Amino acid sequence: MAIPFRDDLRTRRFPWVTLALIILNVVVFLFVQPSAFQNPPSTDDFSSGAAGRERDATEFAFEYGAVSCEVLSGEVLADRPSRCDDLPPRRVLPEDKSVFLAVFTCMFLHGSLAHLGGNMLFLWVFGNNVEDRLGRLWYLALYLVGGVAATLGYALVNQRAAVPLVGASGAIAAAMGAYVVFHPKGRILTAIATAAFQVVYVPAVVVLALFFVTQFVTPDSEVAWEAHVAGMAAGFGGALALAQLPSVKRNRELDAADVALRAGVDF
Amino acid sequence: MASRGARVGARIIDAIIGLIAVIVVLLVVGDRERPAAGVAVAWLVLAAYEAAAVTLFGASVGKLVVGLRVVGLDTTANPSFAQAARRAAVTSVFTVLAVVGWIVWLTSTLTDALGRGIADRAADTMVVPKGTHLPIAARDLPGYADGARPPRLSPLGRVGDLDVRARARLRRLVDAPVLAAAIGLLALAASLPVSTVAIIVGSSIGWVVVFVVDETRRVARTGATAGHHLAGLVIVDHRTGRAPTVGRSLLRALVLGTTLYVPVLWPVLVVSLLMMRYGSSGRGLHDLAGGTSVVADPSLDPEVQRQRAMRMRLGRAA
Repeated sequence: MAIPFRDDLRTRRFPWVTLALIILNVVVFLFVQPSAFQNPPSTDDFSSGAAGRERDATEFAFEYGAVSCEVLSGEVLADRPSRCDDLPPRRVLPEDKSVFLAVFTCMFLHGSLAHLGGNMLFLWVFGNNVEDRLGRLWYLALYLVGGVAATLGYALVNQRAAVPLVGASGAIAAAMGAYVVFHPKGRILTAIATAAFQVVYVPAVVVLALFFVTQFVTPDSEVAWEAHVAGMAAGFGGALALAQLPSVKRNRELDAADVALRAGVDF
Repeated sequence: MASRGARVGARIIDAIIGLIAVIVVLLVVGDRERPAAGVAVAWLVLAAYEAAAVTLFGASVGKLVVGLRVVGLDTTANPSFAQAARRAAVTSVFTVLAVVGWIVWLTSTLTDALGRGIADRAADTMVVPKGTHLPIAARDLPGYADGARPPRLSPLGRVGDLDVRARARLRRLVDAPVLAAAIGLLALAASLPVSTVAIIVGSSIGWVVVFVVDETRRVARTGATAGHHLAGLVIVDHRTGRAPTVGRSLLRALVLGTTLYVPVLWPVLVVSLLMMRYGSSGRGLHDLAGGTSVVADPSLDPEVQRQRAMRMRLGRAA
């Protein structure tokens, strides 16, 4: 219920990693994932083509999405592990799946155009400033570790779930957690549904609060809030630790100097 | 500054070229089952065309035909590839996002005194007639803007411009942490087992009430909100030139809150915006209700005020 557009912080370098991650996610969704993800067959279409596209999407999700009980047991669903609930039919399950690779691949997949759009918007708004502060490699590491932590967090809470988890939200939540550590006073231009859709600059923590409140309030079982909490916690903790690096400390000083310089100059 | 007629002509030529290119590419690589991918390909083709043309020739083909060019601020050189790519990427996003994108794009260009739309602002560029003396300095933009759209003056001072006032409103919560927190609390209070629509409507009504109370308090006390301060503007009683009374501030906030946030009243808001844009005193309906005017802060040096307003206009207010 909060749609961020931009923040009021400038960056000193172009966010190449953030842009590359966005391009990667978009390209995978548009050109690699089966077409049913971006163009679901209509519910009254009973043709074999529509059913085939639907099945392709399901198989793809089970092959490259992270499944909690697979991750925890190390066994693929096709082997019918005993600690999984509600096992799907065997015909949609891949047999040669790499369970642990799926923990990485799942964070580059999305369930729908809206899912992809929302995630990429949050990544663009929050990611560039975190990349600017951390440097490219550390930022990429934080993003990937945050994504893995999010998947593991979800798996630990839903240990017997046999549902594929997809989406970059966990990794992006890590970037959001890091943003709050590095820029606690950052303001985000946001459209807020619960405030009559007004567009206004609000503190980053308010956007984060709205991000979570929306998930808890909205009766939508498809949102993996556990993954978001785990991802954000990982990002928050990771940023606190990385803030001690000499390069990050130096970037912080440079940011402060830039702000001081701008304060005395009109343009 | 380039004339709007020439820019429309250039855009029509570019649209025809772009459309042909997109159709040809989609005939080769298009896939009916992947409509979103088709939109992405269209964006890429349009962005590549614009970026390549601006980097190589200093303008798109349409602009070259009508005698316009794209220039970077503070430089005599053609826009760099990075600038051209950024400008092209933004323009193309709003081109492929039909209707909503076009509205945002057109509004941003038409409301700017110098015709610098959202893409020009993102890339620090400007469209000018061929032969314009370069460089165009960013810090001279306030002067050019005043030349293009002469300031309106009232007995109380320089009248606040609509685009500056609209941007100032985005900064409404800068000095109001309690109000910002209220937004979060409203969302929390909405955690009742009701539908999403009911949550949005209920909390929005709560927000409008909170907004009216806070706006009244601030305007009556200081004659300004945080956004007005940043833009160098002040709200004054139209007759006395002093900060409005509590009653007048309340009337003003009520009309403002309802027209801004109640969708069925948005046609009224449009009338109010037109009055602010074209009226000699720049007073909207909420100003008439409260008997107020929004003018340049008389306590500021005029040049400082003008620079503040331009910083707000450019989206660079600190």
